[in-house]
Parts: sequence; structure tokens; C-alpha cells
Amino acid sequence: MVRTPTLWEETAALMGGVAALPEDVSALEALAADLPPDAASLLKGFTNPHYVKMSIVGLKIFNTALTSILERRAQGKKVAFYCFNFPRELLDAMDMAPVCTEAAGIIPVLALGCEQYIDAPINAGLPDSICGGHKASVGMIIEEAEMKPDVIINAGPGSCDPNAKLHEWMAETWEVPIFNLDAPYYHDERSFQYYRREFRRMVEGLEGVTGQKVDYDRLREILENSNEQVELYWEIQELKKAKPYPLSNIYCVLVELMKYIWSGRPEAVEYFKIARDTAKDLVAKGEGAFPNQRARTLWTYSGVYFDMELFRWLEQVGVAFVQDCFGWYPDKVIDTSSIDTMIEGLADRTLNQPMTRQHKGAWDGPAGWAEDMMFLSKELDIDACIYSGNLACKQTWGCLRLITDKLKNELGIPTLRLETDILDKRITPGSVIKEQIEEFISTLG
Amino acid sequence: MIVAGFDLGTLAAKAVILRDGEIVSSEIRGIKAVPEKVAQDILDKALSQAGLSQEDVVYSVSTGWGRKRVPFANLDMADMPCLAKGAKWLIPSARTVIDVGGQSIRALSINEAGKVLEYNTNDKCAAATGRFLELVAEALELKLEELASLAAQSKEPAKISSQCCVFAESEVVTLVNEGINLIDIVAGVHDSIVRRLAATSGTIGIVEDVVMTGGCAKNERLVGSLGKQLKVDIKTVDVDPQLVGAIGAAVIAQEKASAA
Amino acid sequence: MVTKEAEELTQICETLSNPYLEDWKKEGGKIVGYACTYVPEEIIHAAGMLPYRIRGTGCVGTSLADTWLTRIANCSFARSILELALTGEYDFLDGVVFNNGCDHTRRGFENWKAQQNTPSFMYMLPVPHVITDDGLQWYREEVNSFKDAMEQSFGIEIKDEKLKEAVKVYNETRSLLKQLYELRTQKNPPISGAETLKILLASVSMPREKFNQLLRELLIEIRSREGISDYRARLMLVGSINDDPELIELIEDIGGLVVTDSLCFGARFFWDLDEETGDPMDSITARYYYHIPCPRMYGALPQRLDFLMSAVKEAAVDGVILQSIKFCDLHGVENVLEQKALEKAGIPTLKIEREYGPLADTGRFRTRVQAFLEQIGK
Repeated sequence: MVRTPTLWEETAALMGGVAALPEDVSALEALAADLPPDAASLLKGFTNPHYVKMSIVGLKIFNTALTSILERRAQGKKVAFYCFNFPRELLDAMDMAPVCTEAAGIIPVLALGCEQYIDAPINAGLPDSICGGHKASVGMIIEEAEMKPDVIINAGPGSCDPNAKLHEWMAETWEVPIFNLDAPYYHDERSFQYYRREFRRMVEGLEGVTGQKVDYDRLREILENSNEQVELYWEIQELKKAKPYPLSNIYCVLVELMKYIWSGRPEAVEYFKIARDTAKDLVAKGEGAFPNQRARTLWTYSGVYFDMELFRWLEQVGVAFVQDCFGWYPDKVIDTSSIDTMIEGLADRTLNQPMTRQHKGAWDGPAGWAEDMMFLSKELDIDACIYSGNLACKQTWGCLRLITDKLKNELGIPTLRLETDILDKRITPGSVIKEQIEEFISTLG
Repeated sequence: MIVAGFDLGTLAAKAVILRDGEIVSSEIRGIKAVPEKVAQDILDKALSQAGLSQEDVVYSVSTGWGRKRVPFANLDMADMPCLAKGAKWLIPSARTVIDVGGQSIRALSINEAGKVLEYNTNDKCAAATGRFLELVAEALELKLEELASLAAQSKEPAKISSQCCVFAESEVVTLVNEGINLIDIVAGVHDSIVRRLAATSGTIGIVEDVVMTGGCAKNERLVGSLGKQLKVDIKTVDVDPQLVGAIGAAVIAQEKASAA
Repeated sequence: MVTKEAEELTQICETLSNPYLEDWKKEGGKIVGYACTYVPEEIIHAAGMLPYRIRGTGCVGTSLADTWLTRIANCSFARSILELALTGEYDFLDGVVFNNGCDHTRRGFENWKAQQNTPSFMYMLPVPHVITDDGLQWYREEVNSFKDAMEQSFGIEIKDEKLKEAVKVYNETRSLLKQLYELRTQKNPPISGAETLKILLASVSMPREKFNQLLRELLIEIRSREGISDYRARLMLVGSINDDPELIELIEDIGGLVVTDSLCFGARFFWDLDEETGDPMDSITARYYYHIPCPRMYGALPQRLDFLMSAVKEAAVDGVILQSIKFCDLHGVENVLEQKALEKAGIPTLKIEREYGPLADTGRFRTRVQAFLEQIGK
């Protein structure tokens, strides 16, 4: 009897098809034409002609990452689930199969739709107000038990209740150990010191329960790649300031996915290099990544992911997706000279991840949401902000007006409030989101 | 110079004809047929009222949900700029526009030059819109027009807690069955709408003068209570408030034609 | 004979303010509001001020609060308390202390703090999300900073002896409330769940010494009662915050006698005692840090389940109502886990989502409880 491929296998296979493509838009478009709507929309998001090379490298990484996890799993390595605000580099150096909970669901949703997976956790009794980012992942596990975690890391309880609580639910329901790292409410030396102790406690515990030790030579290697990524990231942040905007809108989406699923690997470095080189070329020529640019936008939450074609559509209507909050990584290069510096560097980086940073007072806290959004708006010369209003996100909805008013009153930047589930197209369809964005852009004058 | 503005909303289509900056005729009709046909019908009707023909119109702009389905319009524009333009044209001191139409609530904050600074719309529910009032009127077997004056007579408005159109309708029916006075139910419905409108518009920060437009601005009880709730004096326009978007479209048409 | 004052203790909660509070104010006393069971009241008390638990009583709609917190994503309790703050109902407070308890309240606090007219002392006392030795130390430092901030802001000194006194006063309340809860475990409990909540609400709304005195008196009267025997089932109420006696009355009116709970306006708030020896700051800190944990504390599910199961047993509960306010993921998810544990132990459960206070859909809630009572054959 032939076993039905799991969602991950199916997704990996699809991405494998992309990996075989030549580097031109028409090949991507031709493949898209043969695929079901969700997969087609995904590929269409990657069709900026200047960035085909970057896009294909990015899509290939989906395949590589998924395949690698499946392989390690098959070899009996432990599957570690972690929230996206945790650096996968550590787990990679422990030879685990590291699965970013959100990406585990997001990637198949992007590729294959799969609403039945989104609904499964609700049918299992969980409140429907949990995040779409987890519904798909949990649903997938409910339906296809084989992707269950062996261990879970909860890196910032208190920054997002639905997120942390769902990780606790997974641990309890599947009876797997969980490590909760307490992220302090402040952004000072005392907090970083505290969190480093949390992080060490977690590393020790993780080694204990999995029997898989950190290979520090391997970690050094991975972190050196990761450091190169960080340097490229900052270089690209500088290039983003150019007008017209020199990057494809898909760049930001992939930056996040790189972080979640493949950070510290040579392919991820390559991705950033191609992005940097392409942008640099365009800037040198005084060209933008797409014509008729009308607005430089900052997405004060994340993008909307269930319809990836949106990112290409934005380019077609002249809107640059310059930055989003979830793609804002104020990372530093990690000193790889000793085990201590590496662990401390990783701990500091974790406490600085998107969402964990918002644990603190979003409005008046140092390095909080407001401060970050104000900084990015000025730094990147933003014309308008778009809040992609993920309905599950209580903590951002709960201080949205404070942030919106601040951007409006202090910088004259308006914000569009969308009301969506960033992964479930049934809440607000892509067509409606496009209408709302067009409407908003028309008021910018 | 003769120009036209169209606003094809979800429930009603409106046309306005301007001649040298004056409104010469207008037409409002419920949308039942295909939008293209309705647009043509209301244009014909408005033109004939003014004794004009389609050739006289030098420029026309369409707006609203069906704005892309007005084949003869020179330009289609999104709702917010047209609403802002229309309100500002009618009441130059307007800084906040609260438009409550058939299925939408839109609150706009505009600056002195008429630029939209921020706006907020109703969330994904038709509660507190015209359609909601219609549903309540149907459920109570009343005419839409008599709701405001009935509500005004209530001394003890009923408590309507539901935040959802569908639930509120069933809640209204429950109240009727419990023997609550019709007048108090109607007043309670108005109060619940006002709370929603206050939250939707309050989010953008209320700056005077505040202008209320859209079909629901015809309901004096809503306008009055909302003003009280927001602690401002709400102005209304001296034309049919449903026409404001179409007027804005026509004013934009005039600007485009003059610039050409 | 019970005094009139003690008899009227259950009426204190009907409004935000009350005659005791007004007298306190008239005599120049200060009142500090707090919003969570992780704020040590003893410190406020030792400062010579009156700790007042912030609640949503009397809120009739949330149209102002909804412009800050939103009705499409935020909890109706948090919105209700913000509404009362924005409409000036909490102007009698001289200070406000919140914890980073959940997404809704921590953001609610920020919105309150951002307004023009707030009490001058607006304080966030952050609490770790895990229970560890390091976490205790961290929280200890936070409690110390809170004490320092109080001293600085109000120009006072909080002396150790005052803290020790406060420990005694607060421990007495806890012991008295525990006696009340013990009475409820009887076959014919002399007090209903709704009345219990009203007494609890009084405890956080008036000078504590006075409350203790009145509750002592009232307990004598309660003990002499015949007890309630005409109920259909003995229920436990768990889940999201509830300061609304009407919610419990709704259940009790149809025969579900609420005999225990693990709520934060309930057992979780008073169950544990301060150590009365040693450094009072240490004992206060430890008591608040280790008390029956809120679902916001990670890794603490076993403690929560232990308490749940022992309460079920002690009060001979027939069924448990696991309720959560819409958008409350902490309890929404926790309820799934607790339901699983209860079902495993053969305890019938009703898991239900609701809105708070003025936004409550009481008809639907009543119908569900009715069906639950029938389902458990009562």
C-alpha cells in the first residue's frame, strides 16, 4: 500500500520542483500555471524579474530545510520545536531536527492552502482566538502524528500569551519536555544577565533530556555563517534607504523564513549575498526594483502570507514593502572565541528577537514597539504604515492606537489598519486586502 | 463646465451633476440590477432633470464599491478621498467625517487642506450600519423612517448587549417576547449603535468640526446621541447626506477637467 | 446577634466606592489600586494606604475603552476597567499598580498610563513567568523597587514593623476566608457562591482591619445558618477573572450551587499565607511568588492541577465549569488542559466562552449551564 505523503513531504516535493528551474521569470510563471491556486500564488510572489536568482535560491532553501528535518528525524535525531523568536543555530549544532513551530505550519499553508489543518486544533477544543501561525502547525500534528516534537523551547513567555500558552499545551498534550525561558520586562544589563542564566539552564536541560550535546566546533562554524548573514542584513538595511527602492518586496518575507528555518547555513548566506549584490547593482544604476514607485511602507506587524502573490502585486501598484516588525532583527555579530561568548551571544540575540522585544512596555518601554517603529520610519524614510492586524495578536491590537497616534502625531505618518488572519484566507480574502491597500494608498496624495 | 460624480455603494447608487461648481441635479437608487445598468440609469435620470445630455458632461469620476463598473467614467477613485473631498466642499471647516452607510462605517480625520490623515472603518460586521437598522425595522415591523422619532420618546432605553448584527436581531426579538416596550427597544438599538460608532470614530481622535454623512445621518436621534457620546456638536450637510461621496467625485471631476 | 454593619458587608461590592472608602478619603487617607494577585497588598497597607483591587463593577459599555483596546481582539474585562478609568470612575485612586499579568491587562495599563489625567503614581511591577530560584530573586528585587517607588513617590517610609503588622492583618483575612471556604464544603453549605464572592470583593474594597472584624462577626452568623439543601448540583467555577456576582447567581438560580473555585477573585487570591517570622519583605515576596499560580506562570501546571483536584475532592464537586472570557488565551488554553485532567478523573465538565459584565450574553450562558446540569443527571 502506498502511504499518502505528509504535508511536509508534499511541500518539500513542490519546492524540489522549483529548485530544478532555470533562473528566469518565465520558468517560474510556467510552473505556476500548472499548479493549484495556492502554490501558484506562492510562486507568483517571487516573480520580480530583477530578483529571480534570489527567489529561486530562497525557494530551494524551503526544500533543503524541510528535507533535512525529515532526514534527521528518520535517523532518530530529536525533533525540537521552537518559537520563531529563538535562534535555530543552537539546535542545529546539537544535531537535532529543529522545527520552527510557526514555519512548520506557515510553509505548507503558503504552498498548499490546507484549511483543514487550520481548523483541526479548534475541533480539538482549543479557543479559536489562538494564532493562525500555530493553528496550521498543531493541526498538522493532530492529523499527521509523525511530526510530533520530542522537546519544546518556549523562549519568551509573556511576550505573546497565545504563543507561549500554545507551546505549553503542546508539551502537555504530547507529553514532551518543555523549556520556558523567562524574558524579563526590561532592556538593561540586569535583564540580559538574567536571561543568559535562563539560556544556560535551558542548554543544560536540553542536553540532559535529549542526550544530544552541543558540538561547539560545529556551533562556531554555524555562528560564523550566521554572523556573515548579520553583516549582510545590515548592509542591505543601508541599501534599503535608496530611492527608488532597490529590493524586491519578497526579500523581507524570505529574510524571516531564512531566520526561522535555515539561519547559519551557507545557503542562507548565499541568499543574503545575492540580495545585497542585486540591490547594490540597482542602486549603482539609479534604478528601483520595480517601476512607478508611489509609497515606501513599513508594516508595523508582519506581512500577510496566505496569498504570497500580494507581494508582487504591491510592486505592480508601486508600493514598496520596505520593512516589517517581524523582519526587524537588531542582531549583533556573535563573538565566537569561546563557548561562553557564543552562548551569551545567542542568549542576548534571543532576548532581542521580534515579539520578545515587545514583551516590555510597547509604548514607553526602551526598545519597545513604539521606539522601534519610530526609529525604522525615520531611518528608512517611510511614507505610510500598514498594520496587518492579525486577529490573534492581542498584545499589538491592544496598543495599536498608541503606536498609530505616535507615528501620526510625531512623524505625520498614517497607518492602515487591516483586520486579518495572516495565514487563513477565509477571514479576509486577498482581494479585499488589495482593495483596502489601494484605498489607503489613494489617500496618501 | 458640466461634470458628473457617481458613487456605487453596496446598497445604493448615487449620481451628482455639477455645472460650474453648482449642483444642478442628483439621483439615488437602490442597487438591484447590474451596476453598469444602474449607473447608466441614474446618469440619464440626473441629466434629464437638468435638461442635459451625456455629451454635455466633460468629465466624470466614479467611486464606491462598484466604481470600476461605471463604463463611461473617466476615472475611478477610492471612497476615502471622495468622501473627504465632498464633506470639505460642503462644510469647509470639517476635520472629522463620520460616514455611516448601508453596510459600512467610515471615520476620517482630515487636515485643513482636506488631506486624509487617518481613517478607521467598521470591523467585519454590519452591526451599527444602515443595514442593521433596516433589519431591526423589519424585525419589529416598523418603517425605517419612523425609528428615530420612536426612539426619541423612550425614557428607559432597553439594554442591547450583543455586538453582532445577527445576535442583536435575535436579542431584539427576545426583548419583544419579554414584553419590553417597542419604543424602549428601538431606543436601546440606537444606543448600541451609538456606542459602536463612538468606538469606531473615537479611535482616530475626534477633531472638530465633525460632520456626519451617509444615509444614517438622516436619523436625528443617531446624530444627536453620537454627538453627546463624543462630546461634540455634530454637523450635518444641507443636501441628502447619502450624496456626499458622489459630490466629492464630481468635485474631483471638476478639478481634473479644469486642470486638463 | 450580627451587627447591621456585618450584615451589610455583602453590599459593599455593588458600587466601586463605598462609605468606608469615602470616610478613608475624608480623613486624608490614600488609596492605591492594583489589578492582579501578584501585587503585594501588604506593602501598600504598610505604607499607610488602602490597597484597592481594581474591578469592572458598574461599567455599562466600553465605547471609549474600545478606541484603545479593541473589541475585536481584547478581553471585555480589561476593556471594562479601562472604560471606568477613562470615564473618571477611578479618580479616587492616588496610585495604580499593574503586573504584566496577561496581554490584555499589560496593554490596558499602558493605555491608561498614556492618558492625560491619571493618578500620579502609575506603576508596573513585572513578575517572572517561571517559578525558579532565580525568578524568586528577580521578583524580590522588583518588590523592593516597588516599595522604593512608593516611598519616593509619596514621600514616606515603609518600616519593617509596619510590614509585619500588615502580614498579620492580611493573614487573618486569609484565614477567615479559608474558614468561609471550609463551610462551603459541608453537605448543606451555609453560604452561596455569589455571597462568598461579595464578601471577597468587600475585602479588597475597604480598610482591611475593619473588614476582618466584620467578617469575624458575620462568620458566627453564617455558621448558625441551616444551610442550603435545595440545590441540584455542587459546582466548581474555574477560568478567567470574575468579579461579577451576577455570573454566579445565574448558575445558582438554576440550582448549580457554586461550592468552590480556583479563580483569581477567589481561592487563588487568598489561599496561601505569609510566613510570620523572618524578614517580612522576604516572606511577602515568597508568598506572592509561590501562591497558587495563575496560568501565566509557565511550568506550573502541576501545581494548578493539584489545587484543582484537591478542591474538587474537598468540596465534593459534581461538576466543574471551565469558563473563559473571549480572547483570554491564558485561560482558554488552560481550560483545555484542566478539562482533560478532570475528565480523566471522571469529573464532568462544561467548557464555555463568555463575555464580561455589560457585554455578557446571559441567556446563552444560562442555557448551557442548564444543559450541563441535566447532562450530569442533576
